[in-house]
Amino acid sequence: MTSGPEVAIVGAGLVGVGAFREESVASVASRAVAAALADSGLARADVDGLFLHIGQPRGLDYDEIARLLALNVQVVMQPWSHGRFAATVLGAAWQAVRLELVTCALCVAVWKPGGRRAGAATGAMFAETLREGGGPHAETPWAGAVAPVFGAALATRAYFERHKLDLGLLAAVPLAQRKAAQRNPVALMRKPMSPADYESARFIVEPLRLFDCSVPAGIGAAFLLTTGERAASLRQQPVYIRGWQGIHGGPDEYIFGHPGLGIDQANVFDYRPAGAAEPVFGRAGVSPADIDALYCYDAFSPQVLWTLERFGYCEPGEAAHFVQGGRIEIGGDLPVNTSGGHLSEGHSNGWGSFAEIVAQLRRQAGDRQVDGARLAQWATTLGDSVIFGADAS
Amino acid sequence: MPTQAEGSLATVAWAGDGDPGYLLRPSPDSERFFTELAAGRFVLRFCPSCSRPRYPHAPVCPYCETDGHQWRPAPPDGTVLSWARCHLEFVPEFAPLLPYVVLDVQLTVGVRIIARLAPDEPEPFTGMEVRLAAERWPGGAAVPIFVTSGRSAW
Repeated sequence: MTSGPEVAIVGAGLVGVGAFREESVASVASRAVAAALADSGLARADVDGLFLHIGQPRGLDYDEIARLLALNVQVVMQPWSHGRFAATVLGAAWQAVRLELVTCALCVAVWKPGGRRAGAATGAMFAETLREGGGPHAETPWAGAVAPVFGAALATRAYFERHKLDLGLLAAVPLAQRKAAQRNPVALMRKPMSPADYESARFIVEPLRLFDCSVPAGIGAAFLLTTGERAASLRQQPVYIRGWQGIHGGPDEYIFGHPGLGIDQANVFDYRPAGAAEPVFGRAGVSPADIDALYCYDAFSPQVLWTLERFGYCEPGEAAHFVQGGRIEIGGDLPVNTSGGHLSEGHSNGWGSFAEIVAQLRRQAGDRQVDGARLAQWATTLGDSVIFGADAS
Repeated sequence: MPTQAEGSLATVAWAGDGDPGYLLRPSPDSERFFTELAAGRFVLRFCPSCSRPRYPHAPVCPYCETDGHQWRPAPPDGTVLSWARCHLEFVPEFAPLLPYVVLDVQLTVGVRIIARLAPDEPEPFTGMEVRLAAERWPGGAAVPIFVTSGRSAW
């Protein structure tokens, strides 16, 4: 990777996955920041960079957050708070420490969902569905496709038909993640789920059923990053950011599918993912075979399949078979989303998964601990990825 | 059944509740598309240099990178590339249409459009031949919808 100091996560604060009801965004953020500071042993005055995943349709801008939380910072970044930007926020913090623009970067994510599901006309998300004529993330409101699940459903059918796969294979993903969630005390959905429970659940947008869709949730999370050198004197075992790559965009990228499926404006072609040649592996000096646990952005269950293919864990068209037989469960060859992920822990906009990665690499994951976990990867269908290590190199 | 005047798109009457007009907010780039559709015409932005159409209504040609566009009529025929069926009431106006089908259609002219399959059409399948029609909403707006019958002006 480019020269610069090693960068590590040295503090993590997760103040729940769930509804915050009457609590303000500032209050949730404040609790998360306090938890991360206490976890790390750093003081508030040590923080000099602020990287926010807060905003639209509810939230506060960086200046208010800094003022209300008594932070004095000199580098700030705040994108739209879609879950897809989680690794972009974390990556900006990593870059700022790596480039020595700041000495201690604080990431804060707060998300308060609307009282109703995304897409519902009275929901807080609805205004964004209609911005710039509509359709910004897999939505076409005037066609009755008023939520991201429509695009995911179209991509899912195209994928399963292209590879002549039985749609029933998809069940393995939500079933594995529910099993993991049963070991996670903060998961919103811990009730055991059988294959029959999955199959008898109603369709939301066919072919996707209820349990193929993430559980709406609120999130409050804070993470502190500093140099590896400074990390050595702090309270926790550092979790190093070993490699990073950004979100991909372009006419052929589709937020809830993979390139080549032809959904919306993307072209139809034979998709050959870069797989193990994705730059994040080279930057971290590892290959997919070295990764002990994988974390995917799983707003919808098929995204796990597409991530496995995109990052070289299996060949195109093989992921639906790859995930069968317990392979992605805790104790399997490649544990995936061991917190239960967005499908069962709750839709944390990515940050619940980062908290899980930190817990796993610190060996603090309790019943969910993946034996010998030294390397974990975050990766999404949109091409962004972070490789985390218990070791600096 | 869709109705159709000579030389124009087939028309499908709105069969949902009330007026879903708030779901259509044309941008300066898409306004012409919907205005023409309300007049029964299907038009797309074509490149002034390489003549290829684009959708959505981008300011630059995605093929040859030429800026600008010319709105031109386009043939409305296409083939279903993927489809999904909505079983959940997201907005009340669509409730009477449940479960309704949303199609991803490859048009022969070379663009893909996501729009609903008209009510009372046969069970969809990938590869099904469809034709773009205009669904007329109570407030006067029209949006693309797909039908399997109706003679095209093309």
